[in-house]
Amino acid sequence: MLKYILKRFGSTILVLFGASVLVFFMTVHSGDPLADLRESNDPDAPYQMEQRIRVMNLDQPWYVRYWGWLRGVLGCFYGQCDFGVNREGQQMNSILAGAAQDSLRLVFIATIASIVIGILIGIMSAIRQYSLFDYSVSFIIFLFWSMPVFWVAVLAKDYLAIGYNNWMQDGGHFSWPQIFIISAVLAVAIPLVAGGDPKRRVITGVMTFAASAGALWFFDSSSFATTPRIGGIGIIILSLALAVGLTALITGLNNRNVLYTSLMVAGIGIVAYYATWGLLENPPGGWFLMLGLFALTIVVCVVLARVFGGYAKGQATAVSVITGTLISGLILLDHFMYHWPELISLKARPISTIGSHTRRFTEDDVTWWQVNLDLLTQLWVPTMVLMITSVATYTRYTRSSMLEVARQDYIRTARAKGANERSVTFKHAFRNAMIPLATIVAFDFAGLIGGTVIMEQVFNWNGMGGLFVTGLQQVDPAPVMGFVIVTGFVAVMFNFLADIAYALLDPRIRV
Amino acid sequence: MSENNSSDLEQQMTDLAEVEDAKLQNKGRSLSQNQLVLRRFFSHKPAVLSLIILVFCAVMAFSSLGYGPIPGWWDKTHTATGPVIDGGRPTMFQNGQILGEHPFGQTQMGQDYFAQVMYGMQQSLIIAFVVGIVSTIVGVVIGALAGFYRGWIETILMRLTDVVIVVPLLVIAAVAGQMVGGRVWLLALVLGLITWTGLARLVRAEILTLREKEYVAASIAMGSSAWRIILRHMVPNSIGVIIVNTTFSIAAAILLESSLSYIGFGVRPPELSLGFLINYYESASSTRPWLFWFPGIFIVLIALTVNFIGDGLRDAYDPRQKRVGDRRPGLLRSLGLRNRRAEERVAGAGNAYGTPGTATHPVSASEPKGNTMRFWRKK
Repeated sequence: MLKYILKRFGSTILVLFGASVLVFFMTVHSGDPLADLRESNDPDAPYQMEQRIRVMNLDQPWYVRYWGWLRGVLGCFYGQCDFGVNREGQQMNSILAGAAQDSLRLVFIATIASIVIGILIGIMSAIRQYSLFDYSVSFIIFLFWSMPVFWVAVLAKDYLAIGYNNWMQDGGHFSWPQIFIISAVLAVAIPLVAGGDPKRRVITGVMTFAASAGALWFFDSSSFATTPRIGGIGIIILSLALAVGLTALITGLNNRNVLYTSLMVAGIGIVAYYATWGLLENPPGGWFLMLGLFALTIVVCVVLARVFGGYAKGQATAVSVITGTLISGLILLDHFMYHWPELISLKARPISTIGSHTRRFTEDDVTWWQVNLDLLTQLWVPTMVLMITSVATYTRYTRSSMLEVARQDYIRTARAKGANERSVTFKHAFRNAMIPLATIVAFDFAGLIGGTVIMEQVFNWNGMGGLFVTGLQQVDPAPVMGFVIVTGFVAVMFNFLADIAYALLDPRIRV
Repeated sequence: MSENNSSDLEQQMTDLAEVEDAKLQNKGRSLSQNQLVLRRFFSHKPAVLSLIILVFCAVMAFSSLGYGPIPGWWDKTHTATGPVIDGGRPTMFQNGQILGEHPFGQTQMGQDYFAQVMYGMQQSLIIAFVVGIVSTIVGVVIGALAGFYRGWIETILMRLTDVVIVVPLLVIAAVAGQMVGGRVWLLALVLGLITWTGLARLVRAEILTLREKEYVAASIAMGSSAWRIILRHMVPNSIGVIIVNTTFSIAAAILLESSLSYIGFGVRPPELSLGFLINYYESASSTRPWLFWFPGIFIVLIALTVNFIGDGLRDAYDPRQKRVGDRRPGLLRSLGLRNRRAEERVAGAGNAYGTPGTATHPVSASEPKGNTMRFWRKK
């Protein structure tokens, strides 16, 4: 295994090196880096030209310049990274660090969200193969694959973001026709997914309509859009529902060990919600504290499952870790909701369509929660647009992979020995269907990085994409190479992790 | 994975061949491989509809303005300005006329937007098809060489493929686009030279299985040259994979070109393409939305139809992907208004007495190849 990993790592580094030579060569030969100065009437231009030639080493052949750049980057191996200077002579290190944060946040969130959504829709679509739901999903996948991302992004910016701002400024109220239309759409869509015979579908539809109309009316009358809260009661109900629901989904309620473990996790979550409220109101250390608390949650969940899981320790661990993660998410969400009115009072129109964050929010007079809420509100529209291609890809591959697996002999064996559908789907089919998806993640990640270039252009972010585009326009290799090497490194790492995951998941290819 | 399934697949192919044979015997004539593919393609309704729409779009784009010295039937050009009528609103389907003076409206300068969109569509189509053809040729050559010769040739070619793959496509395309500086044919050629990677991998995998076949061994024994084996035996036998991927690469090329033109490294003035139009009139999207909508809709339309054609071709070339014996459900059943079991009962009611020798239940005949993921089980 170690030999396999080392071999993969070696070839990965070689490939990355080859790619960097290729891009450097192409960038350097893509135009004239002095074009703007040659056309300039500035009497100072000859001096500036000389200075730029000196900064960019334009008097050297390209391979000497490449070697100079490579030496700086190779310094990373002994802790002295140097990504060179751009044509103004500014150090790329600090510029890249700031830019990478924004872009990678966008890519990571989009990746994770599209994996989750795509897999869920893909499974549903495979289970309901050749239903209207399946046909609609297939059509939407083709539509998403055929949409130019930048066009959708501009549409989302002009209609979704600005429409949302207008709606929030008007107080965030639903009108009766809106409630009716939303409920009607849900009442048609959910029975299609839920399935069953016609009678059951009609009942599901009516119930969905009533529930969603009631919920929307409740949200409206409690002005949820401006003062949203889950609240203590909400957390208690949702935690218990999650514990019971996840147990039912993964192991079935008959497995008392798992049920009691997950209920215990929910109980601890509820206690933790009240116990940490004061601490989280002004979190010392910001995201590090959050990560620490989350790690603690996972440890507690695993320990509980190991102790009380009985004969089903593995399943108990899975259920309690998922329950714990989701309840942590709920608690975080409730805190964010608690601070939402403050953000609204600072920014009446929550989404400013320019930039990745509101500049004045970086000062010390706003709290940690407001800074991050602001980041999230700026993030959700670009993330959603960026996700459309990936969601389509994951849905498609999950669907075909599930259908492929469902034809295997071991599925027939599982049915023949009397396993129920839940365990056939989730335990036998789903797990094996996930194996080929590991490779898709790595490929899709590279596509998303290309997508960020466009997103940053549309939403005027100063991220890596902007760096790349201006660098290329100015025939300045340092920013272009910075972009390629950082994104290439992350993509290669993803690929590498995917390969290892593949080897771990599928014993057949273990070396 | 494929090795494990190969016997399963062979079994399916045999089943399929038997079904086709039975059909042929009934009709009393036989069809060639190509005729079979064509017939299956034309029974795929979304693909045929897409083909009609795509051909219509292409004919409209090239016939309206003409190409090169050939004149078209539309009397305005994409550059000529004129008086702006009614704020430049589209005249299509207004005041009882079908097209009107400016069907897609006018720009701020008073140029006819229909002419601009048609001109942009010409360029986008040219780029998409040239990219598709060039990338197919390069991909097939590299994949075939790597798969046929193996050894160090394969190592070098596949590492080269990895190098091109590791850079995000849009990034390397942008750098290439910057190098050629907006000339349409050159841009198409260069984009073709960087988008071959996926096909090369697929063709290599296909060739690797084909070179173990008996007829290849027979051909080698008869002393055929390597090129003859590749061109006469291997490429024709992997034509399905190649054609289907060419189609998908055409759809991808349309999107790639428009994205490049949008960020400024694709087609540049005086030339224009659909992506460039969107970029150029982006700021007008709230005041003159039609300038923004029309090119976008045509990009979606072209990419969507090409994707559907690719899907139809894949079904036609690779019928084993379809579930044999499991009929697609009718409209009522997809809507959930008609129960599967009810439908079977109706189907069974037709021959309630049963015909001698056909004791199979309608379900059990299709059972193993039906949707095994469904939730209901026979009790």
